[in-house]
Formats: sequence, C-alpha cells, structure tokens
Amino acid sequence: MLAIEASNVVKSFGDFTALKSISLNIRKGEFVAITGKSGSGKSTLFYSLSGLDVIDSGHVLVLGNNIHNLPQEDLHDFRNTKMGFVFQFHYLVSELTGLENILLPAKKKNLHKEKREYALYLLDYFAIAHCKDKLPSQMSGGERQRVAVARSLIMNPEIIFADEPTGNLDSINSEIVMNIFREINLKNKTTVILITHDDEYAHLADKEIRLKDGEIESDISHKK
Amino acid sequence: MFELAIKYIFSRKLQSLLMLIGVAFGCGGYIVFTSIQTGFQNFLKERLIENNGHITIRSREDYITTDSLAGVFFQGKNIYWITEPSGKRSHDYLQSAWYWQKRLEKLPYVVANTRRIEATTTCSRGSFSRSIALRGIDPVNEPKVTNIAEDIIEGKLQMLSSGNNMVIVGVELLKFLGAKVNDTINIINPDGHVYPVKIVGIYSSGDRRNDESLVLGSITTVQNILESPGKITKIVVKTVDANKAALFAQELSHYSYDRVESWDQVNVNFLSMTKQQSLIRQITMFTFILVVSFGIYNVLNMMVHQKQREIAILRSIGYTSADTVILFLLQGALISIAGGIIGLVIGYVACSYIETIKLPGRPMMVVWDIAIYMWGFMLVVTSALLASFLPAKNAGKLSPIEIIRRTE
Ligand SMILES: Nc1ncnc2c1ncn2[C@@H]1O[C@H](COP(=O)(O)OP(=O)(O)OP(=O)(O)O)[C@@H](O)[C@H]1O
Ligand SMILES: [Mg+2]
Repeated sequence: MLAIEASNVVKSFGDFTALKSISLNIRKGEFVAITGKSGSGKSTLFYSLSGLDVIDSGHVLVLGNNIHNLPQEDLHDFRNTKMGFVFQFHYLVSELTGLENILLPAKKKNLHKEKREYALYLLDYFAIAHCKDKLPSQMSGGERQRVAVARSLIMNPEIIFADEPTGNLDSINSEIVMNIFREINLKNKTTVILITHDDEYAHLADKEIRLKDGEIESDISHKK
Repeated sequence: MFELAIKYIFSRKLQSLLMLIGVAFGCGGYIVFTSIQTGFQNFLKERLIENNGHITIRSREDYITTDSLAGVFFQGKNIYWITEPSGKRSHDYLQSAWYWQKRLEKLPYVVANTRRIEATTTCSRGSFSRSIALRGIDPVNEPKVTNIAEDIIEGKLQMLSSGNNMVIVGVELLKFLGAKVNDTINIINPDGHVYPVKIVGIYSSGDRRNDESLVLGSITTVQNILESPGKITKIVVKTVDANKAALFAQELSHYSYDRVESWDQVNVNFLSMTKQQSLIRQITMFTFILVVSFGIYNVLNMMVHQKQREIAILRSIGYTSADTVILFLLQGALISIAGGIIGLVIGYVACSYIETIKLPGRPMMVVWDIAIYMWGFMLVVTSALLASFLPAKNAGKLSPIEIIRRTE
C-alpha cells in the first residue's frame, strides 16, 4: 500500500514553474529524504504533497485519498489525525507549556485527557520531561524542536512531514532529532518524509529523492 | 479555543487591562449619565405637571382681522371703517366653564379638574412696584389637580377662602417688596384701580420665575380685583396618565372650539431641550464607545499580526479557519463581557453615591431603571464584539502556507 502517490504534479508561481510534472511513489513505513539545492523546489513539493498548498495540475493521493479534492472539513480532520508536521522553525504557541503544546492537536478532537499519558511518555522519551511546564521562551532551541516533533506524533499519524527540522539546530541537537525520526519510523512504522540539506542524514533514509530546478534529478534507494 | 483565548488575554496583561477599563467605563459611564439625566428630566417633568396639571383648557386667543367681520353687518353693502377693527379680542375668558366641568366629571380618564382665573397685573408696596402673575384658584379643588399646596411654606391654601382679599405671595416677590405675612400690599388691576390685599402665606417652589411673580388668591378675590365677576380663564385637568395627556387633550378638543392643550404641548421648549440634552449625551457616549471599540480593534489586529505563525501551526495541525476566528472573537467577547459586568458595578456604585449628593434645595435626581443597565451592557458588548469581528475575520483569512513560506 502506498502512503503517497503523486502523478504529474505541476505548481507554478506566475511565470515561474517551481514543480515541473513531478511523479513519485512513497510506500507506507518508508523513510524518505528529499534533497536538492536551495530553490530546487523541496518545500514546494512538501506543501503540495501534504495538501497545505494547492497545485496547478496533476493529482496527489495520500493514503488513497485525493488530498486536493477533499472537502475542507475532511482535509482538516485528515491533517489532524493522519499527518504530522515539523517545520524548520518550531512554531510552538508561546502562551502554552511544553505539555500543552504537545496536546494541542488532541485538544481539537477533545482527546487531550486520553492523550495526556502518551504526551508525558513522549516528553520522557525525548529527554525533555523537564520542559513539561515550561513555556517555549524558557526552552532551548533543541528542546523546542523536540516538543514540536512530539506534537507531530501525538495523534499517531501515519505520515510525518518534516521540512529541514534541524536547520536551526547545532549538530548534537540535530543528531537527537534525527534519531527520534529514525526510531519512530522503525518502531511505529510511521512514514517519514524529511527535507534536508545534509547528505549525512539523507543517507540514513531508505530512499533519497533529489530535486533540481523543480524536477526529480535522482531517486535512489539506500535499502540496507 | 476557550482556554487558549484566556491564555492570550493574560499574556498581554496591559493591553487586556486597557481594553477592560475602556469597556467598563463605557458601560458605567452610559449608566451614570443616563440615570442622572433621566432623573433630572423626570424631576423637571414632574414639576411641570405638578404646577400646571396634565391638561389646560383655555379660550382660543382670537385676533380680529378685516375679514372677521365681513358679512356681519350689511349684506352686499360696502362698509368703510374709520379705524379698522384689529388686534386681540379684549378678553380671554373661558365662556363655557360650567359646561366643561359637567362634561369632564363624566369622563373616565379625568381624575379631577379645577378652575383658575389668571392675569398679569402689578402690585406695589410703598414706593416698590412690580409686575405679577395673579392667579385665582379654588383652594378645595386645586390640590386635587396640582401640587401647589406643597410649595406653600407658610400659611395654608385654605386660608385664601377664609375671607376676601387674602393672598399668598411668592417668596422672592415678598423679599422684593420687603413685606411679611399679615402685611397689606396693593394690587393694581389693568384699569388702574387699586385693591389692597392681605398676605396670609408664602409660596416657594424653587422655580425662580414663579417665586418672583406669583400671587395666589381665591377665585372670588381675583375676580373682584379684575372686576370680572363669574369669569374664569382656564380649567386645569388631571388625567389618569400624564404620558397619555396629549391623546386625551386631542379627544377633549373635539368638544368645543376652546383651546385644549396637554402639558407637553404647552412646554414644547422644555421637551425640545430635554431632547437636545439626550442627543448630546448620546453623541458623547457614541464617540466614547467608538474610541474604545477602535482600541479593541487595534489591539486585536496587532495580536493577529503577531500571532501569524501560531495561527499557521494551528491550521496545519487540523484547526479550521473558523477555529481561529473564534479564538480572536472569544477574546473580544470575554473582555467585553467582563468589562461590561465591571461597568454595571461601577454604574451602580456611582449612582448610589451620586444620589446622596445634596444640591441646594434638592438631592441629585437619579433614576433606577434596570433597562438602562441592560442597554449600557448590551451597547458596549455589541460594539466590542463588532470591533473584534474584523481582526478575527482577518485571522481566519490568513493562509497558513503563506505565513510558513514567509518565515522559513
Ligand atoms: N510564493 C512564491 N512566489 C514566487 N516564487 C516562489 C514562491 N514560493 C517559492 N517560490 C520559488 O519556487 C522555487 C522553489 O522554492 P522552494 O521554497 O520550494 O525551494 P526549496 O528547495 O525549499 O529551497 P530552500 O532549500 O532554500 O528551502 C524557488 O525558486 C522560489 O523562489
Ligand atoms: Mg525550503
């Protein structure tokens, strides 16, 4: 079964075509790295595959659902339960504590009571238990990013989208966050789609999709 | 969303506090101003009604014109006047007083009625003389229609009928004449004849105009002085409802050619003055609430701007655009409701205090009307809600992807 099936995806901004007819398949449970130079269209692909942004033509099936044809409500629901997002900037809500931030997606579904245990487990697992009651402003960059990753996992999503999650972190913290992705991929069979600049991390992935000028330059499997 | 809204409010304590204070003062101010002003207007209105009854029936003031007498004398003949008859008819006595009183007694909405004879004349004592409002009243029926009796600070209304040529004099007039009770003063009628009268009481209403000029006597006394036996100038009526007086007057006016006017028709000036006062109050309140609303709008707008990233992340984890609208609308609603409640308390406390302030002659007039409180509350809450609606709507319109792209 495929997690993502994209065919002939075209996305342009005015005259400029950022994605030129991209087709790709990502299997469930796969760890995929998307690489490429700055401006090659990685983020644009990420937004197009996850339904965060609209596309000009082509279609994207996520877990068998045509993501760009879903009614708004279903799309929100889909994002809440099936997908997790991690961005380069942490995007935590500054008024909420670490625990509250992690539980934010669960809150939308009124599941924050049931998910509390799991949130505490994630805090512990990511070695940030001490951040439970801290506000984002009182955490380090690495801690914040780990909270953001924990938040993306709280609803047990089937696919994690991460756009340069380590872009703002030092090598130690990058290492920690990357290991977390690797582990959840192995343990939970969660599909991970990771955008990265770093070749070292790209080699960790099962598959590396390299973009160049809005086209797939190479699609290499590192099956070990 | 509720908890997050509260967290947002508390994270910006100063701004939230300012909004709260603005709303509270808007609501409280509305209540205080409206209560005092309505109280004052009611007070004036009561005084007007108390002194002059609900409805007055007078003879129509007729002016004779050239046409008035056309055809009266010789049909088809030309008449040449040496001086054309013109001007006001010489008297304004009510011709059909008896008929009126008979009819009024039968009407269900008439509580009581009384006769009066009024004229402007002069009074003098020694070398002082002054123009006065001479009013002949019926000491028995007058108190049933007006509250004049309550303004008599020395003597009694009934004393007017204990003998001929007894008068009660306004307190300021008395001072002017340098007279006191039991003194005799002279009243000069329009024909120049002098009538000595005895002061048996003092009248003081707090209304300077009356206190400086009013001279009350019995109807017979005044008829005597004016040398018009049996004549009266008006009938004053009390009805079951002062607010419907205009309606009753309208009905009464069908009975005769006489002039029937309700208290509010007689006092058009007073009413337009109170309307103007109310208008000024409304404009002031409107401006104040506008300023407060604009403040709320600004603060929330700024907040939406500052919170863009958080809005984006909320959207990406499954919150809808409606959720974000609610998030900001809720902040406006919570602050305005809290401010409104504080405003109600402020209004109540301020009104209670103001009521205890003594002005010379009377306490501050404050009405206690739950409707004023409800209006004040609704007014600020709705305007604050409207003010938060636009920023909230903008928050809902933000596209998460654009925000993320901008900051990545
Ligand atoms: N909203 C936009 N309007 C116009 N052009 C855009 C817009 N968003 C992206 N682009 C262009 O599309 C191309 C791809 O952008 P994208 O953000 O996908 O690059 P990227 O591979 O993520 O780069 P980076 O590694 O720097 O994040 C770039 O040339 C960029 O200038
Ligand atoms: Mg990018």
